[in-house]
Amino acid sequence: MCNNLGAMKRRQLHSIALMLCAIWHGLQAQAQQAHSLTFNDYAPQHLDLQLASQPQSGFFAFPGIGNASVAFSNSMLHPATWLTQSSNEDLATLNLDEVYSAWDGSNRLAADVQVDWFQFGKFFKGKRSFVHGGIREFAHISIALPSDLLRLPFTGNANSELLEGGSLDFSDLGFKTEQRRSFYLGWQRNWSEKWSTGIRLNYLRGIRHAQFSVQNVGWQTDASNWDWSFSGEGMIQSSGMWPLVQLIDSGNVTDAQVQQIKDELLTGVGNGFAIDLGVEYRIHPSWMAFAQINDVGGIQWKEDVKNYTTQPTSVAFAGLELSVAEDWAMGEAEDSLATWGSAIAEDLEEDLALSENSISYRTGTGASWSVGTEFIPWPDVRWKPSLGMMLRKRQGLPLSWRTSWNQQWGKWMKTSLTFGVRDGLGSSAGMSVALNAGPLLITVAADSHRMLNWTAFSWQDGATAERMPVYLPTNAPSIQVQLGVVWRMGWMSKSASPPPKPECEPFALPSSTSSPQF
Amino acid sequence: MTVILSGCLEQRFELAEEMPVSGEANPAFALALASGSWTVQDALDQLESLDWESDPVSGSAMFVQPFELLAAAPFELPLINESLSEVFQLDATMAQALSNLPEGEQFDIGFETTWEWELPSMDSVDSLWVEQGMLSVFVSSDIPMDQTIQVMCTNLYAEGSPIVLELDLDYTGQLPLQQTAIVSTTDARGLFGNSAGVEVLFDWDIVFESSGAFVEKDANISIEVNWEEVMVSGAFGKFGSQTTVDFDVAQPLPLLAEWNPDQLHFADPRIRLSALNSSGIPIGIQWEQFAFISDEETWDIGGPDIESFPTISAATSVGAWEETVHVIDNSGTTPTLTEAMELQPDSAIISGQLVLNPANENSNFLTNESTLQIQAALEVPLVGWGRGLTWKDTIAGAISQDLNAGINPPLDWQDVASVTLRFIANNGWPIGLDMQARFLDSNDAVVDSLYSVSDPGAFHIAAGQIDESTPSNDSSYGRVVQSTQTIMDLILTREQALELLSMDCQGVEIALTLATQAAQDDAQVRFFFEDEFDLKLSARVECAITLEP
Repeated sequence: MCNNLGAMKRRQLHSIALMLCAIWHGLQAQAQQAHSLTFNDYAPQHLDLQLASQPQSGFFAFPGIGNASVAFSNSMLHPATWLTQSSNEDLATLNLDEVYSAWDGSNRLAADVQVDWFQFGKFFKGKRSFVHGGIREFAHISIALPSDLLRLPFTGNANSELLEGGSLDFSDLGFKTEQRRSFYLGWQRNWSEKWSTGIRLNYLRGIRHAQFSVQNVGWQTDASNWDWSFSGEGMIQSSGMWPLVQLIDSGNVTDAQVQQIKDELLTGVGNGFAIDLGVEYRIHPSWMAFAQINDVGGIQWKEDVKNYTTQPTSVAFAGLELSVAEDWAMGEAEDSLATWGSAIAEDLEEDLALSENSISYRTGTGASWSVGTEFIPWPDVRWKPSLGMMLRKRQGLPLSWRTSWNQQWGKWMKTSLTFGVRDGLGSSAGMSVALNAGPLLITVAADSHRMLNWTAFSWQDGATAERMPVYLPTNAPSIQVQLGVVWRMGWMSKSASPPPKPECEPFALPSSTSSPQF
Repeated sequence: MTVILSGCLEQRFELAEEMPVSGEANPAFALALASGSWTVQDALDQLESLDWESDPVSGSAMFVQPFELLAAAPFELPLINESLSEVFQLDATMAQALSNLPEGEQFDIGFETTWEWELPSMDSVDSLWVEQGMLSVFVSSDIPMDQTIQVMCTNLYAEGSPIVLELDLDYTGQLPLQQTAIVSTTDARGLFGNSAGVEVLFDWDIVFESSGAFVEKDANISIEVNWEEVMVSGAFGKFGSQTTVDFDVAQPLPLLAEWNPDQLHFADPRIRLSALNSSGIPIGIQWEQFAFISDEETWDIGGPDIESFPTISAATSVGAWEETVHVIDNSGTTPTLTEAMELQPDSAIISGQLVLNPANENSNFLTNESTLQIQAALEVPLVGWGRGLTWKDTIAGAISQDLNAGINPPLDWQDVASVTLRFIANNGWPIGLDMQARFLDSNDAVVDSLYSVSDPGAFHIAAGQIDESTPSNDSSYGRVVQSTQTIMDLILTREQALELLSMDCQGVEIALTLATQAAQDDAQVRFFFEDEFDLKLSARVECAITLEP
């Protein structure tokens, strides 16, 4: 009996563990780096944003803690901005106008997690080359809800004052989750005192992917007769999700499915490649510019694939056609409506032509490009301050920009104070700190100062005592935190790091004008 | 963590179910509920007990109530039972000659006779078709000789040949000699050459063979011819002018009894009489009465359409039909049919006699299949005007409770600013419609109405557009040339709904009132089967959600 209970308990724990694992791995990733690290070359993570720039030192990362990044994007839910409460009021007041205004424009929730299981970096050729590599896990989940959908309770489908043209646009509706693993190897090379380049190759192993998207989905209500017309098309693609769906749906999976989940976590269900390229040009010893592209590539999802697609369709709804309804009578209205509804559903199904297949498909890795420049106004000053400016554009998101004030604090620390806008989510200040603590190099970076402002929500229930408050950022559309602890190579060296050597060292020209003798 | 959070905590909100909400949400939801399209044909088809046709004159829709006046032979063909007796007596010379004839020698004599009689109702007879009958000849002779007698009916034919009867009388010493011959005249034909009556021609041939016996003077031969039970299947000739068949028909007209002439006016009713005659005899009609009646009164209809009724034409050949149509309408009746109908009669009575061959025409015929069918139809083209035509129905139900239950918690009528029912009508019918809804209490007393009749927002569907420039004598006069679109919003506001809730409304009476354009000015409209009426019903709910705790 006890054995049975123990087995049941272990099985439940196993299921819970699998579910947590699934949720964790459901947080599929796109590369998310703290932009404040762009000009902080003490930090190894700086290489992700400036591939052609050398870090301060070689490094070796402790497994799992060398680099970890968490990013949240929220342009949808900021309940603190919807409430007001003065000091003499017992309860907060919900302002519906604020809710309505908040849902104008893009409404997206996204979470990205990035962890390096293994990481290293080493100089070669007298610091003219730097090679780095590692294994990185990405997880990403996002949902986008159209403004018209969120504001439907405020507008309905026929509030002509709030809806221009009586049209509701649901084209932004979408959901995406992805997990992938990247085995990457990068090579940075200084070609001269002015030029340096970097390249990083990523072998990608797709673990799980699911995506729901719609195109041109709209709900039009005729202003005069209130007829409806729906249009659009949709698609669901998934790979490696089916056992998880069964697990979540039934709470139980077979041993074979458990094994499949484990196998897929290890070997993945798809693979692909991506490449990062960067170039840096030093216009002047104190003025540098760079350009870079990241994540150009894709993954071919091959196994455990389920795809559902619809055809572009347009459906009109003009009410029950009484003159063609057979045997229409008020007494049988319910039956007539049911029959009529079934007929419409059948027509819609036929129009949509929903098709299912298991054909492998390809997804992009979400390429981005960035350009930037850094200026060192006082290069001879010991703390070597610099000003940086970076523009970055990720596929499908608004342009990001960030300015940066960078400063060295001797050899043991470098900081960057930044200000900018990330992915169209409002302005924010950020900072990065790279601290050389003996053999350890500790990096902390965060891009949004707004995450420091929190609001407590306390729910009062008349029947019970006040519950534990819930704390949420007041209004932080973007939260980006990146941490890392690595083992710093050459930390025992007392001498200052020699400057990077160009490929062709200058040689002394003979002062004589006579011909050389052999 | 707590310390960090406390340092970062900039505000705190206390939340509860009863927390106040500022501002309001004003969503509006609209939905097309139903639509329909109905032609005049569709509407009239719903009146299954009534017949509708297209008016052959104008093409407009027309109510038709057919009834049969007569279906009979115009005249009964006669049954013939005629007989003829003849005696041939020998004179002295003839008797002596036969006595002197050597034994075994033959003597042959021949002669012709005619047999005439008149057929009733026929001035002259050209020919007869005989369906049945027997022709017999009985001979009795006092002449002591063997005798052979042949009788040929030269104008009576059977299977294409004249009918012949033969009798052999053998003398065995006993007198008188007697013999009978019979022949069937089934399917026989008689050709009589336009005689005044039936005239059958006989050719007699008698052969005497001497037995050597003496023949007495005054010996005779007696002949009796009978044509009996002769059924005539066709008579050709000239039928005499005479009154024959009476007819007397009473046709109930229940719809007319319920007619309200103040509400409905039909401009061009008519009675169409259609006579089908398969006889070769023209037939006239002599009216005794043509009238509309009620329990209390009788209204005789006169005028040229009644008094100058045309002669029903004769068929041109056997097996053919000749149709004669006569229409009785307002232009030829006094009082007019419209006036008579508006007197709300419950029946029409039509009586009189058929007159055969009133113009004394020749070459008539009548067979046993000849029929005269006179069918009548009251035709009422939907041309005229209507006003104040009202249909009412009461829908019983706990309206107040239903209104409460119509919106589920947490919403209530406080969250609904108004409910709008939008009617979009494209009316191609020449009739407009008003609707009123009255709310009733448990005693069926009106406690409120949806609006007042004079309210500009009252429910009114305008009639289709009529081209008033069309001349009134044009068959398109009064026809809808373009449908009229009317958009009406019936708005039930929150205040009205709350008022209904407080009334304990237990039912709603729906009243529809129909009227044609300018009916009060006697303006006429015309309905066509293809006239179409489209109606679309949509609903819109405007909310004003305050979310007050």
